[in-house]
Amino acid sequence: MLVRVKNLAKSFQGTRAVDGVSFEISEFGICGLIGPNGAGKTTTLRMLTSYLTPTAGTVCIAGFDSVRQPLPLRGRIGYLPEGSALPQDARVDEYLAFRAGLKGVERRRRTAELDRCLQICGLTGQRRRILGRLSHGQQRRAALADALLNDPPVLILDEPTIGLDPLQVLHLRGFLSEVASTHCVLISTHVLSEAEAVCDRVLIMNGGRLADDIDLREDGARQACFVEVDGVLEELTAVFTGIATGVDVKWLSSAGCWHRLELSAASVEDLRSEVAATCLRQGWKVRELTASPRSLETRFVRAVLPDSRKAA
Amino acid sequence: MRASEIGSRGTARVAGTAESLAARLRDIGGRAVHDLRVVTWIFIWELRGYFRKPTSCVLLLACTLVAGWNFSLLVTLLSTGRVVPVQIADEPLAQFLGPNVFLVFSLMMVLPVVTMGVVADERRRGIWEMLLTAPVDVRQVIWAKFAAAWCVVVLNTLPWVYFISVLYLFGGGDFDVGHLIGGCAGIATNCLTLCAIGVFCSACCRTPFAAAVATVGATIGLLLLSLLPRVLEYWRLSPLWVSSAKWLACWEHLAEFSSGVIDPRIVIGHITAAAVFLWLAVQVSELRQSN
Repeated sequence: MLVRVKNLAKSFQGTRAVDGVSFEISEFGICGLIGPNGAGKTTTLRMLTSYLTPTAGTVCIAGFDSVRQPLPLRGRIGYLPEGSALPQDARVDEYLAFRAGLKGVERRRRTAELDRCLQICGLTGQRRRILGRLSHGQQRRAALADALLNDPPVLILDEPTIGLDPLQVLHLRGFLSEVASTHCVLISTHVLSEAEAVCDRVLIMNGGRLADDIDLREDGARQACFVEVDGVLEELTAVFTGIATGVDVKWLSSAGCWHRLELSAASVEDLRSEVAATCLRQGWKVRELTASPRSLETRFVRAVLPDSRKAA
Repeated sequence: MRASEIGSRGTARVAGTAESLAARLRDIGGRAVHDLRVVTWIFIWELRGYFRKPTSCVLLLACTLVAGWNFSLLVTLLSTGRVVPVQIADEPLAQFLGPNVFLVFSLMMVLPVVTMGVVADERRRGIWEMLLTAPVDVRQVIWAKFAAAWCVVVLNTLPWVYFISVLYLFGGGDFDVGHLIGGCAGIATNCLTLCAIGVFCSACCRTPFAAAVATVGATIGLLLLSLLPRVLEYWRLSPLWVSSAKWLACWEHLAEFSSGVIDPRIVIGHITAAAVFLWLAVQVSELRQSN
């Protein structure tokens, strides 16, 4: 097990920032942690790095407990914090050499390791520049190069694309996809499209709790659509479920004999045309047939919004 | 059971105990070496970081100017020969590396400037978080930062040592080297406690400014404590009270050192005080992480 989090909780002067979060990551890949502001993402990541001590619960990374064995745990993670916390008056290579020494990179391997990380982050040409004179994006990349030093098996990246230009974002996504085959990457982000583009799995946090756990590899293959049909609800549900195996029918609302349903399926080639053909065959009147918004967005909204606003 | 069997069992047990003891010692030794390596690495980084800042040059220049002013007064006093010391510590030479107003106030100014950012500023800027997500612990970081701060503070008193060395080499006349050696030892020893207090204040405060104010407050407190033995003597309190107060009189220790007396008890006292303040700084930092 690479990452095991059990009933994790953190309180700050009576305020519960994280409340009973549990999840496990057993294989390499990219796992996203998404949620609105104040959901507890950064606090959770800080506890994962052992920087913050949990009020309750346990964190275990690569077999090491964050409270009892923080030093070996820290040796197995690369961490990119939310802000670029770098000494502004040091040079890029000096800083990275210092960090490499702290992380136990042997002296004879240090230059090669620095070159590797600088190349991945596109900073080879900036190695002698002073950190304070780099742009925000370049500073983020320097901090990312630091996280990659000593090639840790678990990478924890807090909002890694903030401040990067679109090309750098694409480059970073490419890099993350590359390392995902040999590393466990845990990223926190606000950007759903980013999570959808790079993550294999997404954990949605809200109010300090884990609101949803989505396997995007499984979920990405699913299609979904909204349909508003005139008929008997039970009959509609039975017929739509029979379109193909694994069709999921969800009732959304009713107005008289009009029923609004959400259909989703993984095994159907074109769900909307199948639904249209079924309605024609059955002679049902159709008032709406639209593709559902991306599944992550829907699930995020469902997980985050209070029940009273979900219907709206 | 035969005696030879009992003997061999006993030997095996002793050998086992010795082996486990050796393993534990190896473990402790290994950890100490690792600690030392990490502390040295952070210490060098901190020292280099300090000298990258323009503040370091400004501070050293200010100290050189103050030391030069102090030296010019010393030379005037020595040339006129108007000072008739009652005790050795009152001699102008002993005063130069002792608790004279120039050196004391320079130290009181240098100390907060050097130590205020050690923890408070780094925590505010997020560098503390970066440090403590690497495989190092709070204790190692605090010790390394303390060592670097101590070096910097002592380095800023070098102009005084330089000026008195010039007097020793080129001044001619009767020069007691004890003042020079004792004075240097006194500054180094006193700075242990002062820097540890500075680091502790920095660990306790949220902002560097608050840390600086707290450190200045603490040094003023120490200054007032240094007057305590004289006050108690004036009130004719028992010698036990006076000698107890002398243990707390930090700047008085400097007077004792600069008169050429190196008292190992005072050295040990300062090392202990520094260790206690650093331990407290570690506890406060860890507490802040868990809250």
